[in-house]
Amino acid sequence: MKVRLALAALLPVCALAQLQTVVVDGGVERPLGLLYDVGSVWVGEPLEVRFRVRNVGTAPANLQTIGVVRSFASVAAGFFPGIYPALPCPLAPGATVDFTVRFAPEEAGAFSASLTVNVGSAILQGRGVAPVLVVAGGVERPLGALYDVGLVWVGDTLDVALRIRNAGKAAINLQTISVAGAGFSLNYPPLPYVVAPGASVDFTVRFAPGAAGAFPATLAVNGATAILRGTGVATPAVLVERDDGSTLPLRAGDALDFGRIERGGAVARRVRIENRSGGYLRITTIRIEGQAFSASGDLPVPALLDNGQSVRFEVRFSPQTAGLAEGSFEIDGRRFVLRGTGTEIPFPRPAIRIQPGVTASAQQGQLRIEFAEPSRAAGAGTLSVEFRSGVLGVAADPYIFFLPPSSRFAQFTVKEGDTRARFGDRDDITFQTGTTAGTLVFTARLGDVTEQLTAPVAPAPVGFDSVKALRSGSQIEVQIVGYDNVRTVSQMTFTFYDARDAALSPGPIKVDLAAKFRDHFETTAVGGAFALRVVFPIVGQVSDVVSLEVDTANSAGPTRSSRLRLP
Amino acid sequence: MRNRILLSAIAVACLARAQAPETPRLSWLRDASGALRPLLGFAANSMAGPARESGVLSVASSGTWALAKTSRELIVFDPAGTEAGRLPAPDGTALFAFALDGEPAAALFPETGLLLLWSGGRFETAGWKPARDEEVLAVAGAISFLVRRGDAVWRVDRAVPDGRVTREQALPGVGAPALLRPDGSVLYVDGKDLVLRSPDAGEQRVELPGTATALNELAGDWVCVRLPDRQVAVSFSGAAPRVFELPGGER
Repeated sequence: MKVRLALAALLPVCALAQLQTVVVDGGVERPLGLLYDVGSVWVGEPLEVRFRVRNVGTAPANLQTIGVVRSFASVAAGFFPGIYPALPCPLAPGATVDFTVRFAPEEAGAFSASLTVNVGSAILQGRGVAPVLVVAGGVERPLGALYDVGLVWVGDTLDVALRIRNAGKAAINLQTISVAGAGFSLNYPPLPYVVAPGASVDFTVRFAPGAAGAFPATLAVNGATAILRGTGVATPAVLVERDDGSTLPLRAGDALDFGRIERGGAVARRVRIENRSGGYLRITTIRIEGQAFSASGDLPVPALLDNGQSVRFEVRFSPQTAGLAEGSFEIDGRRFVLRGTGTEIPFPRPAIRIQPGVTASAQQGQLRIEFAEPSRAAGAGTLSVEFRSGVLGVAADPYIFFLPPSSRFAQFTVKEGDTRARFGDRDDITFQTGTTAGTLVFTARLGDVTEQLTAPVAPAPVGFDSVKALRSGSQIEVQIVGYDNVRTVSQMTFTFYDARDAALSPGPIKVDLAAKFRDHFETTAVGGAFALRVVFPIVGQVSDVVSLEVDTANSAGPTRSSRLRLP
Repeated sequence: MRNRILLSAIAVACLARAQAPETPRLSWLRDASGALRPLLGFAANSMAGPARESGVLSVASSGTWALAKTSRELIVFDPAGTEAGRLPAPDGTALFAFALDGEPAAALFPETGLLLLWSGGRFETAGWKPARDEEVLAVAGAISFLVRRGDAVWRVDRAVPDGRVTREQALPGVGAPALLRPDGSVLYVDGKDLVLRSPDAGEQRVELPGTATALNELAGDWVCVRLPDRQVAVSFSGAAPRVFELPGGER
């Protein structure tokens, strides 16, 4: 094989004495030298190369053999025999015969082969280029030798997504990408770009016709070319008129954004259609779609616009729900996006009002949520109460809550026009202050608004809810229900009286309760509440004891019960 | 002599025995789901404790003892909150009465007319029934009834041994729901007002935060008023009537 190639190099096809081989390219004959480059072709797009053999001698001659043999430098067989005449083929002086060689690379890369005609030979070389794919809707399809991008309104742009995928086993070195033709431009990655086997690279061709008519262009990738074609269609300019008198031109696909407006509200934008084509333009249809979008007034169609003339119409955005709304409007098939965001109607700022005077322990109070103005919005909010203890070592008081629902959280509702929030059927809610000194923090959350009210529960002397005394046999049992909101009570003093309201000797009887109360408050979760029983054994006439008083004190001050008469 | 006795009494009283403070328990209540729960704390600062019984139809408490009625049983709780008895009972609700000392007095089951009387620490069948043609609104200790006769409400006292009527008194102006207290006073609802009519016919009123649908004894001076969406505790003792909302209601 080496010998034959060497001979081929020494005896070029075109140099044979009697038979001369030329390349026929576009009807023009060109001499075939030792090396002929057929150029770049897309993989999958075969190229048929035509050769012509002429008898330039004065005697008849025979065309005996035509051969195409892959060279060692070629990545694969890219050149193949095409259409040959019947061999041997006698040629009279001056006669010719044509044959073809097909260049059909199966993958991207460089290819070469030896062409032999009788005893002469030439080297053929060419390059396969990975095909360009059009990507639309996630689907790839070959661009082909000719690709029509379609109709594009003058002034609009169309981007065609293209992709080169390396389906071969060798890397592709992407060295050149170009597009030549008015109205077309390219957006591609920096070159050179190496596409690994199995990988791909994307780029786009933009078609932006500056005038009506057909626009051809040539796309070249690593020397392989494809024809692109687009058509510009005369169309009016579409302009959004701003309040300040300026205009915003819209191209097909652009969005007219209405911004954010309250649900139930409405806003309109004026759109101007202006003929700048230089001739007449007919506007046939205007269509507005989208639940939140509508035409404000009649649409000016059909209309015949002379150059420079314009018509206007208004698009109205009136969202009935909160959230992003999208729609579109079309002018004779040109589609523009409509977009806007409906927002919730804001609630007025709530004000938390609690019943005056309810700032002490062991109380129930009413809480209301009021608005300075009738609410324009409807919805639900939450109310919570947090307790910040003012007693060292005490973190919580489980008796602080709303009731119902016996929880530190409650829901309320607001209807349009309300000046007060509703708690179920009521316009207030009851809360308990518990029996621990500290601070109540009420928080109302309504929409985006949060309001707080802080209500201190001041340290207070021991409170008696009830004091009862019962005679039982030879004893008197005193039952006390009360609370100590600072947890510092340590003793109680009992004074008994006779029927003449005279204190009985020996006078006040002190009972040390410090340890008992300390244990109670440390081991129970009842806030500062307590139930205490103290039994006084009596020898003698228990009935002579007719009343009693109880005194106690904590760090906030002293407490004395009312005079209690025994039953 | 008198002085000697008192001196002696006080001398002993100096040796007072104080029990450890406890969590106050005001009463018992039936929550919105029909569960029986202890009512902890006191009226202005109360909290429902853990459920002790479900499917409760009626409950009342003197503040010490408590009576609860499920669909099939009558349950007695002693002052310590311990179940002291459980006995079969007819279907339906029950009306309860307590003595002045807080002990149970009677339980009436209106659907059957069965009357149980408390005697010797337990309930026994009375052996007679109130008149079946009268709607009994309330019952009070040994043994009085509030009954509706036509449009009027009467107090009818009966002898314990045989149910013989011993006294009848029309109570003009009294409407239902109503409660006959151990001290003979009558609580009744008049529109949105709760009215306390004393035995001397004097009246006190307090406006309720809703329309009352039922009354029952809660504890001592406190009665429980059930409203459509909640329960409140009401007391007429003290300088002015007091109304506090109770946990366990429903909205």
